Amino acid sequence: MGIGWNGKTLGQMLKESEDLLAETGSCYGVKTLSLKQDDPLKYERLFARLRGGIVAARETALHISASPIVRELGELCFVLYSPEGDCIALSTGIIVHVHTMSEAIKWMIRQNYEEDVGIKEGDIFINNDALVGDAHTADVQSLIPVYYGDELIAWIGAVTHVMEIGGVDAGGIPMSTINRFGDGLYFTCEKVGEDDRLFRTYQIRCERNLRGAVHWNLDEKARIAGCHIMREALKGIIDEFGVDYYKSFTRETIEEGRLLFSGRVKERLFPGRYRAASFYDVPQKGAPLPSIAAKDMVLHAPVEVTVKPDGMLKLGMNGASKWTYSPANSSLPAMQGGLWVSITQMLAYDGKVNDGAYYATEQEYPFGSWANPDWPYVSLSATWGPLMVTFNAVYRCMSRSFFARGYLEEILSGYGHTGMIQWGGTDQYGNPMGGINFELCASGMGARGIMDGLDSGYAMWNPESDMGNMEIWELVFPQVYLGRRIIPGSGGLGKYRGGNGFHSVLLMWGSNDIELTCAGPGKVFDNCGLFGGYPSARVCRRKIFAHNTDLAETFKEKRPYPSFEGDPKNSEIEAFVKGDLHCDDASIMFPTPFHPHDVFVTFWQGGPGYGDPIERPVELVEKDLNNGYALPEAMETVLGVVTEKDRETLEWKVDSRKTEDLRNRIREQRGQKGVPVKEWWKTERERILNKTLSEPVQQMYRESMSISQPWAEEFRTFWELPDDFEF
Amino acid sequence: MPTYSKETIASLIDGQLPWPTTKRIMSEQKDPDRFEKVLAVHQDRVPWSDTIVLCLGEHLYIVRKQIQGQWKFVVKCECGFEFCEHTQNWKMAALIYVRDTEEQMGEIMPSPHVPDPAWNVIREYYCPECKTQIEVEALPPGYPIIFDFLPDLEGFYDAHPALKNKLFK
Repeated sequence: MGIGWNGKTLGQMLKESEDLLAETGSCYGVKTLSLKQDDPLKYERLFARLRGGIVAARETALHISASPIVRELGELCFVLYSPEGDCIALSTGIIVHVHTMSEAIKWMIRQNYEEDVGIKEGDIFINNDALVGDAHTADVQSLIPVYYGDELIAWIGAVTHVMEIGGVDAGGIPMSTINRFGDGLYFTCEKVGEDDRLFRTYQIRCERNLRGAVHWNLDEKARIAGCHIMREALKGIIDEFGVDYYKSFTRETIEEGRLLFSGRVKERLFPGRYRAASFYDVPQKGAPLPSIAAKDMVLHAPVEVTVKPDGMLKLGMNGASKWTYSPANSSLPAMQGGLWVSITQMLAYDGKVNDGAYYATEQEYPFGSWANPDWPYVSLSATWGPLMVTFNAVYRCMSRSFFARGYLEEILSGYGHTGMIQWGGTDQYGNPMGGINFELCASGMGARGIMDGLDSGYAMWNPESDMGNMEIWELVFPQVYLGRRIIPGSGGLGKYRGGNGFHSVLLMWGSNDIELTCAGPGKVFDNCGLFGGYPSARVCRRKIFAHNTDLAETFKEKRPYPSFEGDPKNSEIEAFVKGDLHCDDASIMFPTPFHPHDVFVTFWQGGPGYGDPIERPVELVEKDLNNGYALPEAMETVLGVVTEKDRETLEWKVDSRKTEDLRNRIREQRGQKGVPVKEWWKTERERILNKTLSEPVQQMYRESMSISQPWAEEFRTFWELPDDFEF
Repeated sequence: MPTYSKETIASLIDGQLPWPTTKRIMSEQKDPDRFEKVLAVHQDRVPWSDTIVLCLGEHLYIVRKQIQGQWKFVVKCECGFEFCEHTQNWKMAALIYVRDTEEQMGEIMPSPHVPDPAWNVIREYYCPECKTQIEVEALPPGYPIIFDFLPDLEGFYDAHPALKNKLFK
């Protein structure tokens, strides 16, 4: 006698659902939406009740108890699942996990938890293993079974991004880790509580192995409280509608989700094959790491999106490079989550958003690649690094499709990678500290098809992007903000520009034991413009900080202090701070000690541009200059816009006649400096034959060609290389 | 289902639509005749008469035209330059300019914030005739030119027979 519906085991239910999907092409073999047709109001009322219940659980939980990341930025999400682990309804928040938790539940079912571990009402399971069902180690999930009578009627899942995970470096995303054993505490679908209470042994483990377990505890209470709120709400809803109706409804609503998604694909996308590629740099040469990891690497994220006339959307990554001895790898559940969070923002952002959308997609990630590692001990600390660049390419593919269908208002050329800054050591209260400053949750949005991207207003992994109040981060970390400002010119230029990124100047105080870690793509572009727009500046590459400063005297004597970097050629940091100034372009900063009155500057990237830059409307140029969002030189050299600053009003004005002349000259210059592609191809081919490319790039090609024969063949065919050519 | 005038769609294409109207278009159900109207706006604007069957990118179209007695789909620039058939990568017939030094990349973004040119370069593709910058790639050196979009024209038009009858006369 199983715990599932009608005496079945969960394993039987899962297999049946998979068989029915394969046999009929529809979820659970549902042929018609009969409940919806018979009584649409009742049907929609039930969906609204479930959706409302799960959203209310989230909103209540984050105000009951939560770390600053969760409360300020909404880094949590609650989801209602079927017994097999299919999402029925979800809250707002970090919806990337709607499908990752689904995979975790299915993993438990396949591991026969029903018999071997036991699944009872009141049990609490926890998971943060991205190889099983998660995005990365810092995303911690609580999963509870819900019984109605003797049957397991549902699962409720909750996820929060925790501040600290107990890894080799402080914080949630250790950067010095090169395998699973440095990532921090792993809980692989572990039962950590019964009868709605956490095991004391589990709590002790967390308290003893995490830096600042108070935030962990707060987030865990938020997750469990929210799950319990939804559990009670769900039982009331089932009482009201009847269990048989509820069961049939869940089947139908997931199938409706599949139909709606397919319909949306047919409505908004143009059938065909789309390709794009992104890259992620892992410059670890010379880093304080074992020799196997201390080398420079480039991760290859080739993307092929196929849109079929029947509404099926397929994502393939043929040619992805090998997994690395670094935290920058991903996993199947993480990639599936990445696709989910992308399609729910770009396509399926309304209606019945559930796992039906997932079943209307196909995905293929080469085994052995960083996206689907074949080594079970691979580090999955910073999965978002390469994952974010991958879906930048997916956004471009989908935007081409929106353009082809004429839906220009849906175009999003990409986004700025959010990077990472992380604190460790001892906080200003004398306690062990580890955590990410989540102001990073506000990079520049890419340009749209009809307008500029938002400045400092987007994070692909959290649709409710927010940098948080400075005061909150000052409460949590031994830091004071000296300033926070948009970085002019950091968005990619184009007819419409990408949203700018921003930077903050942080002053250390209150602790003599502070270490900072910082990372973000810098040696490569993580995004690319669309239809002639440029990628965004590599501001994440820059690392500026100052040790042994004179700022204590500066404040005492009330002298000016730096509130932003300003023009890098005339940096305020250099102008106002005396001390050991450090500036490099390393992309990664491994844990580095800081002391009171030291300064660190964070840099968050802008988004890519759209369209030919010399078509940018001149009124937008004036607006940018007068708001301080653009650099005057680039307006002339890149956009071909001649401007002058009025000496009295100090306002920038465009000279239309000179602008027209300059834009004509830029076109002429393009004709002079551009060469026919076929000529360029010959010289580039020689470089490949002579293998004069940099070693990290050659290694990337080597790995892609060894993992994927089709990609290797395409590479050789394009460059007309011998059949046995290898790097 | 909503529908919008050709003038409204033209303003949307030009980025000139007032924000409240744009927002309404974003929030509402999609207008099913958008594809046809967008084609019509562009068809009115281009200085040639070949039938546009797809907008491939800014200033770039796929047109249906007869070549040596056979109907072909051809990638064509707004200025009239014809690149190739749609099953080929139009970039191979373009002009290319590669920014592969920090100095060259520093011309288009603040100079300290450029990538390492040994790891990543920028390729700009221009129309050989009008010199419009049609596309940009950011790739490591040696990367094959990307074939961005191979549309399934037959699949789309078979699903839209009325439009096919109208455009494929």
